Formats: sequence, C-alpha cells, structure tokens
Amino acid sequence: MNIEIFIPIKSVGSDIEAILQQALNERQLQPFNEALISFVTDFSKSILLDTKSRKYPELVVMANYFKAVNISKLKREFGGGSAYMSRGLVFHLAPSNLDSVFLYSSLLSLLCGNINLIRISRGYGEQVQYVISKLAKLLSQDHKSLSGRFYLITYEHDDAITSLISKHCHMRVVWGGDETVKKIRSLPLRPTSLEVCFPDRFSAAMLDAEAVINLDKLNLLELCSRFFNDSIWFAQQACSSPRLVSWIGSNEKCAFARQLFWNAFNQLLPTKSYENTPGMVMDRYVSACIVASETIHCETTSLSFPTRILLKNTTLTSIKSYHCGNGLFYEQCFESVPLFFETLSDREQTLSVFGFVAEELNEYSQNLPMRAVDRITSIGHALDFDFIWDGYNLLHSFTRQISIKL
Amino acid sequence: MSYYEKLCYFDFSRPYSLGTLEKKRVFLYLLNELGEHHREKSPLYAKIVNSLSYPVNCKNIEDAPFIPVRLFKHIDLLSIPRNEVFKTLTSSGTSGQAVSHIFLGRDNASIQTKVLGSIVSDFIGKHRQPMVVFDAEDILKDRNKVNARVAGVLGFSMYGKYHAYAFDSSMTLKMEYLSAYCDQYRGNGIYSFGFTFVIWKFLYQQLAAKKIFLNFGSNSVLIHGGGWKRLQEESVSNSDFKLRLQEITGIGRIHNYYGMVEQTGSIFMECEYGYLHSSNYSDVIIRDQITFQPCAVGKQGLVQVISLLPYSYPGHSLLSEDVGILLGEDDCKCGRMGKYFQVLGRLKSAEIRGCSDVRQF
Repeated sequence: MNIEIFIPIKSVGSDIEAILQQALNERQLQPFNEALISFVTDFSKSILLDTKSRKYPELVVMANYFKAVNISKLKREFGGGSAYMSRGLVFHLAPSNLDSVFLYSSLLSLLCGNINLIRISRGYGEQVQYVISKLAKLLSQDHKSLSGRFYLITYEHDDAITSLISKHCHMRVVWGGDETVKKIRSLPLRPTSLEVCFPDRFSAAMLDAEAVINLDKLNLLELCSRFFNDSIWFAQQACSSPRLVSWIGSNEKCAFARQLFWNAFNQLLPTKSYENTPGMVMDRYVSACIVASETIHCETTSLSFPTRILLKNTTLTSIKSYHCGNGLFYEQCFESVPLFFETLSDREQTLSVFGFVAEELNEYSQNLPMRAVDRITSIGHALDFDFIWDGYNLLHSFTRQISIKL
Repeated sequence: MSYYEKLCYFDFSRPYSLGTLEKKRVFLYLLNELGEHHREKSPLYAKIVNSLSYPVNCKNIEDAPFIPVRLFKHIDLLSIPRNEVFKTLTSSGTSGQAVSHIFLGRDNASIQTKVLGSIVSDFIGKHRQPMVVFDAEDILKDRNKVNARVAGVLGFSMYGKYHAYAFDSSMTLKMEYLSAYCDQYRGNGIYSFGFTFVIWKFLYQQLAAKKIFLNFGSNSVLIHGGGWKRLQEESVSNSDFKLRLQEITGIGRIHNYYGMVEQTGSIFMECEYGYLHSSNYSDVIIRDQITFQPCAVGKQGLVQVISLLPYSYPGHSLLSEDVGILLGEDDCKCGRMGKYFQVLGRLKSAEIRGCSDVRQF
C-alpha cells in the first residue's frame, strides 16, 4: 500500500498497520489536558510569531482561534468534568483542496484528548507544507510526548486503505463533496464508531432592504467591505460563503437597496485585491448561461465581476449545483423573512444577515423547513470558524460521556 | 429558399476562396439568418442569448452572441423537433465527465459530410486514395454509439478507398498487414487518418519500441486531430510529433486539424506552414480571457469558433476553452484566404477550493 507519512517525521516507514498499532496503543487523555493545551497554543504561537505566515492569511485566522485565551474560553464552553472522555482514534479525511478547515477539526479533536490520523490529499500546496513543518517540529522537539497522537498521511484514493483505517478508528470525520461523503460512507466503520460528515452546503446573505437604504455612505461601504470578505475570499468557495443574496422588503425598496448596495460594492472593488482568473471567468459564464435557461431566471444583471443573476422568488432547486462560486451571486427578493425561509432546504448552512435582530430571527427560525440552516451570523462573520459547525457541537462530538450513577 | 440551399452558393471545390470583404458580406448574412432561426426554434437558446443582451441583427461577425461550448454538456439544445433528430453525437469525455450531446437533423449531417469533403480535398486531392485508418478494426462495429472518435473515423473515411485499419481490437499494430499494404500503394501515395493521441500512443510508441520503420512513402499524407491534452502531458509539441512520425513512417505531409464534435465538418486544417485556417464555412475570433473583447492579431486569447453548418442545434457560435492566437487574414504564405491562427493550449481551469472537493459540473 502506497502511503506517504509526513507526521511523525521519524515514522515506522510506509506501513499503515504499524501506524494503526502505534496509535491504538496510546493512552486516553482527559479533554483539555494541560499538555494538549500547551501544544496547541505553541502551534498557534509558532505561526503568529513567524513573519512568513503573513503569506497565508487563513492560517493566521486559524492560529488566532487557537490562542491561549481562546482555548481557555473553549475549555469553559466545554464544561466537562471527569465523566467526559475522549472517543479514541479519530480518522479525519480532509478535503482535496483543503483550506485550514481540517486543522480546526483535527486540533479540536486533539484538545478533546483523541488520537488523530489525518489523510490529506496528494495535491497539497505550499501552505500545507508550511503547516506540516510547524507541526512536525513541535511534535519532534518540545512536545515529543504527544507525537503518538497526531499522524498526517496521504495516499491515492484507495478503498483498501480507507477501509482498513475505518475498521480500527473510533470516529470518522469526512470533509468533502457529496460524492466523497457518499463514497466514504459506503465503507464500513468499526461498529462502535461514530461518523460526522461535512458535505457540500449552500450559504446565503439576507439583507433588510430598508436597513440598507437607511445607511449613510460610509456605513454602506463598510457593510460592502464585510460582505466582500465573506464572499470573495477563497474565491467564494467556502461552504459558508454567501452565494445567494436575498433581499427582504417591498419590490421598490429591494430594487433601490440593490442598486445602492452594488454601486457601493463596485466602487469598493478597485481598492481590494481579489482573484479573477480566466478559469473563474469561464466558469461564471457557463453558470450564467445554464441558469438563464431555467424557468427561475429573471435577469442577468451583470456578466462581469461580480456576475449577478436575479431569480424569481421560488425555491432554488438544481441551480444551486450550477453555482460555481468564483464571484457569482444569485439574487432574490422577498416581501418578508418567512417567505424566504420557506424556500430553504437541508443544503443551506450559513445565513449571514444585515438589518435584523436575534430575537426576530429566533422566532422566524422556528418555522424553517426540516433540517434547513445551521447558522445565522452577521455579515462579515460568515467565514469565522466556530466549534458549533453544521449543527454539531464539535466539542461534544469529539468526546463521549460516561454515565456513572451510584 | 432553404438555408442549406443558400449555403450551396459557395463553391465547394474552393473552400478557401473568400477574401475578407466578400466573406464578411456573405458570412454575416448567413450568420444572422442562422441566429434568427435558432432563436426562433430553440426557446432555451433564445432565453440564454437574450440574457446575455446581444443585438439581434449583427453588423459585425464579432457582435454575434457566443455560448460556451461546455453548455452542450449540461443542456440539450436543439432547433428541430426531437423526432427529426437523425443522429446524436457525443463528445468522447473521459469517464466520470459529462459529455456533450449534439443533435443532428438529416440535412445537417449531410452538409457536414459535404463541407468536410470540400476541406479535406483541398489537402489530399479530389480523387479517392487508398486509406489507412489509425484506429481499431472494430471501431465502427457498434453504430449506436456515435462518439467523437467514431464520428471522426466515419467522416474522414469517406475520402479514401480500400480502407485498412492499423490496429486489431486490442490496439496492437497489425505490422505485417500494414507493411504489405504500404508496399502495394505507396507509389501513388496513401491517405491516412487518426486521432493525435491514438497515433502517438499506439502507432508511434509501438514502432519506436520495436525500432521499426514503416514506410508509407513521401507521397503519403496524414490528417490527425482531436486535441493535444494527452500529448502535452508528455511534452510533445506539434513539431515534435511531426518530426518523429516522419522519421518512423516517412509520411510526406502531416496536417493537424482543430475541430470539435460541436462543429463537425467545418474543421480548421493546418496548412503547409503550420497554421490553422478558417474556411469559407467557418470563422475564428480570439477573445480576451477576462473581458471577452476581440483580440488583435498576435494577442493570446480564448478561441471562439463560428460555423455556418449547425442548423439543427445552436452550435454556430461557440466560445471554446482553448487558448489561441490570431496570426493574420488572407495573407498566409500557403495562399488560402481567411483567418489563420494557432491553438496554444487549454484554458487553465479555475481552482476548486474550500470544503468541497468535487466539481459539480
């Protein structure tokens, strides 16, 4: 079996069985054990104190998340107590074009006391190489005692290897597209194992038209800037990047708010740096043509960057899957929030909103369709990672509770 | 007068006869008529081009709407009733990829043959010659599956006689058979055809491995096409291909062509000087990769291909995902009128990032 092992550096060769053996021989640690916290905070420091990391803004954001002060907060959130135990060996399958998201889940899992075996894909880039060097150094020097708890490997898609690991692990975490999730799910797990999957999702921004109209110029630009960060970073391909912009208000107000908003957005664009490669332009053009052929299509407002397509206010069905990211926005207008909420489905993950208060949305969300929406946040925070993700409290998912009643 | 009757205004024996001005006049007239027909008969096509806000009647060929060629992989676009579809062509996508579906009416299929014949004759002469097909002997067995490869073999075979297939069903070169065939016909020249990667992988590599010279003779000609993707992976350029193949077969003339299943028939042939030519039936526009504005001679951009043949489906003006460069018009040293250009490679596809790892379409 052709496996490449990055961490630990001095590994037992390319033998997955030996790795599994070693991993399964490790001892359980209490969630948020001091040694674990100290490793994760040192990792965070190693990135924040290194000027080279400025090349990788998403890593800096990740490192900030794992700063000592935040970990204390996490620990408090976790609560815990002696009855909470780690799950054991956790097998993480990172997305092939991975951003930092796999680090969040594997480091949280480590903090929860688990042993982690992470498969990254073969085509990893320099950012991952950079991360590997940082992790490897810490695990071979200051945090040698934890070196048996964190394995980073890669192999070509091979069901035999995935099955073997799945047979032994106590939890499997799958990040990937729907097809990957479906494929991995077909490979049996150890009977006592738990699986958490993060499949393809679709996210939207929801803006109150009147609130946008009432903004002064400066605040409007500031809103656009936050929206830019949510949607244009990662070429709009994070699962929480808004792909649909939903306007709430009367027809006239929505039309006016859209005009104000996009004018300001376009005014802002020249001051920002963003990617708009020929491949992205082509993908948007193809999407725009496909969507235009659908009955839900209303008008293609703009074909340049960003591409904007106004849709009728019915449920987005197949056209969700034609959305390529890359600077493409679907837009819809609704008279009220409940009318918009009615159209949502289990594909929807994050709603980043402007012009609403929590109480109001709390109430509306009681009437969301089954399994729709996992997260509502303010515009500007769509990409923030949180330990509550896709409806799971990861701190709880990564641990188990032992019931002791005497 | 039907559209195809008008198309017969062209002199089929002179496929490269129209100079800029005359071409613009005739071509634009037919292109506008074609565009109008497709808008009228294909509601989906009409919806798409209307969304792109193009003028209905174009004053310049550059103003005509173009749709991305990838669209045929996602939407069934046709401008005739389904029961009049005579043949459906599919692109030869690799496994797992969506394939294009091209719906041909009877007239459309026959004009493709006629135009392909007109273009090919300009390079191999008007008389049928003994022909070697560089493909498996059983490629045409299953006539229900008309993918690009089968369509290509079928189409190009019409201009040869005494057809010999170079490979058995497992793609092993039929060495003795071919060398006897060459001995018999090399004197007056042999016409041969195959797909670029098939010729490279199965003809060249088998001959090179065995260090065998298969003598076609210098009167012979090879026409090949189908894209360079797989050869580029092995860093084989058009000139390497030509040189190495000539070394090992002695074929006198080797012509690549640029074409796609979405515009079968009106292919762009490579002339004696190594440039691809648009014919009276086709045109090419190079467009900026970001703005899609037409590029001047010498500037790289996306290749838009225009063909006057597609009547049963709206594939007359397509934006490809190939990057090319326009070299000139009407003034190629080979003497052919029309634009001439080169294709440099494929558009680099957008990166897939974020949590999802599977391209949806």
